[in-house]
Amino acid sequence: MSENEALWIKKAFQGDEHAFGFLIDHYQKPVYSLCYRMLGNSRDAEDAAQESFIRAYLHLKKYDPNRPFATWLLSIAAHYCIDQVRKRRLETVSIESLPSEVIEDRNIPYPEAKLRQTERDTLVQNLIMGLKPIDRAAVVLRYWHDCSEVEIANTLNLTVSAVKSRLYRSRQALAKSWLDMEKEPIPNKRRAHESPAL
Amino acid sequence: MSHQPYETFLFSNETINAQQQQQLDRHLARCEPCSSLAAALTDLDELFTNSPAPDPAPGFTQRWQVRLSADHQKRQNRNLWLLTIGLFVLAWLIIVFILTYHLQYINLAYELSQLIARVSRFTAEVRSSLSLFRSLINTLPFMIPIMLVFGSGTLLALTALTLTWFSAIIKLYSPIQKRGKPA
Repeated sequence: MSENEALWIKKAFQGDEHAFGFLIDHYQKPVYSLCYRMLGNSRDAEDAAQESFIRAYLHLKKYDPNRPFATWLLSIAAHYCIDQVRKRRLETVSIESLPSEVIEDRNIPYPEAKLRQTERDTLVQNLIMGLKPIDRAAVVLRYWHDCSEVEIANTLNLTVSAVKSRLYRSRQALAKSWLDMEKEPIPNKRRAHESPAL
Repeated sequence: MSHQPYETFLFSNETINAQQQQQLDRHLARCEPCSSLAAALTDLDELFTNSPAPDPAPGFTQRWQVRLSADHQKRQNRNLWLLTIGLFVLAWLIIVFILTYHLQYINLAYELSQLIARVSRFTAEVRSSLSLFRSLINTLPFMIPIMLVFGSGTLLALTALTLTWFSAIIKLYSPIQKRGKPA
């Protein structure tokens, strides 16, 4: 933890909203990224990340300065997202509430690269959305936050052996899903050496 | 063909020694399902590494500050409601306690007759006051318009005060955005 960060935390501890703003500036990307990968769209990710920071601010007194602040924040965000995923399963989703389809801006530079990135992103989301909420959180923390198994265990309040077995199962499930996806024919996609007229 | 311990080597993400690596390589060379899984894992690692999550939209901290103040207001309103309901329940509990405490020492029939007597005495007093008022009005007919103006003025003032009080109560309980304050 940097000196500045320790100072911001100390000030935020004393109720300084402005100091907590610096902490948000610093941690918004990892928290948002976790929420995005957990929930699958930017609207829910924004809402979850905002709510996580509100909860962190309101319960700052519970923060143990001996633990890394990032782990504590990610723990709040991960648990909030897990709850949201579980709630979603119980709720009936109306068509109106679904996020509207994003129309690609054709004027952006390198539209093909952008399109490839979007396709990759959709593929990643389709793969990890098949995992159970806690397994998904473990995978996201492992792959996108480079967390060790101990850090994942601390973040998700699990034992290290539980994290290991969850990661094992998740990697197995992801690999099988990947193979299944490869077997499925991709509609509207021309195969190599195939006539464009077909 | 048994896929253990090779599947464990593949999925556990634990570092394996050189001998285990050799065994795994030999198994992958002759086992098609395991080699497919190994290739899939490599593809997944590559896919995940090259797919960073997007950044939040600019102004995240400002939006958080807006949300925090709205949240603070919401909690304040909720606490005010809880306090009001709590006080109301407490007042009723006190009333019920006082009534039950006193009822055991009270002769209910006697108290009821006393109450009826008091009410009838009060009604008689009101009636006599009204008749006195009526006779006063009859004796002073020129004062009637003045009294009408005075009476309706008082009524209007009382209505205005009541309306102001009601609007103040509604404003107090409504969320901050509805009041037009910057959230």
